[in-house]
Amino acid sequence: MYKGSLATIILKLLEEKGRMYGYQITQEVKAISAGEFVITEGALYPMLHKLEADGMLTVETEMIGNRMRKYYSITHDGKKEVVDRMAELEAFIRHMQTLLNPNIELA
Amino acid sequence: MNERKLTEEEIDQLFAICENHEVKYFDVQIELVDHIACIIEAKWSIEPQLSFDEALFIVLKQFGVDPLFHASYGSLLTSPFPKLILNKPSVFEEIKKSKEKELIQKYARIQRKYIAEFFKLPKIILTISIVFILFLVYKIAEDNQVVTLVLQGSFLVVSVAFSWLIFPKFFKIELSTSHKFLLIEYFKSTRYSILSIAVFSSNLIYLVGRLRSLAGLSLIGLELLLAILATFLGIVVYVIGVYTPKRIKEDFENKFPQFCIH
Repeated sequence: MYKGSLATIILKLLEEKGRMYGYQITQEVKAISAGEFVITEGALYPMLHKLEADGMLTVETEMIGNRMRKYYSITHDGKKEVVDRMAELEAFIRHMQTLLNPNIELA
Repeated sequence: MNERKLTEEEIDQLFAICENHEVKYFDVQIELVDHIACIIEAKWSIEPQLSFDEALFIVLKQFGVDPLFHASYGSLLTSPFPKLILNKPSVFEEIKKSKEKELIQKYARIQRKYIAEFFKLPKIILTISIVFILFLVYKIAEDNQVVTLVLQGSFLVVSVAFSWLIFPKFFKIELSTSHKFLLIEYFKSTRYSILSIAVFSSNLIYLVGRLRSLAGLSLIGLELLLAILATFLGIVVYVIGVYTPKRIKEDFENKFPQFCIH
């Protein structure tokens, strides 16, 4: 996976879907990418914790049935970060496209 | 047909597994337990005949704990042994480490942001006023060493009084549970860090105070430098000792209101 793309995926997903919990994020990514992207727990949670530490996400806990669940939501700073990261990612894809297939034009 | 869900006993068993894999704090365990429980329930929706132990066996393998090293599930579920055998860290260890790192980074960021506020309007007026007052004190005092010693002593006395008298009385989080929380441990540690910062600050003020005789700094320059340094260190001590525990307490109450006694 492109370096830094996991954070972008998480932020973008939370911006679109509102609050989500860890397992839900892994399943959503798997479904959207038709099983192409699988986020492991060992990669997901450290990234969620990092984004929380950076003030991009906030956390709330709720009782669901007989267990507690942590929900992540995107903050105002996180929303601004998504815009920057998406632009960065799009530029990266464009450059890669130019490098690898100079004859194909992206829309 | 109703979807099969984990029972309370099974959830407790998951908490015990976290505990035995060095994840001792409840605020870190919650996420892991919920994640494992979600995977098990998803497995049951496809293979309802699987027992809890069988489903758990599969999940733990996925988490970097190799169940094959153990003859029975019993030893697997309660022993931290597998993580010692495997070379790479288990998901349990990775999540625990990232959570600890997150807390330090999060509050360091909050502290930096708050300290910066003392150098912007309106708080900068207070900062400049303190620097000016200290500068005047140094100017008026016949012997700068006396002012430096008084400042040094004040830092120490205030910080000791704060750590041992004020903090335990005004900065406490009363819990309605016996669970251990990483956030609470971090909260408690601020009580002791204030002491070490105050000792460091007072010694630094003393050393800079000695600069006049050691480096021959001009009197006005030295007085201003000492006033700025003492003000800045005072702000740092306040932010770490008073502001940070207040923020941690607020964060804890927002995250876990059900465990707080108000």
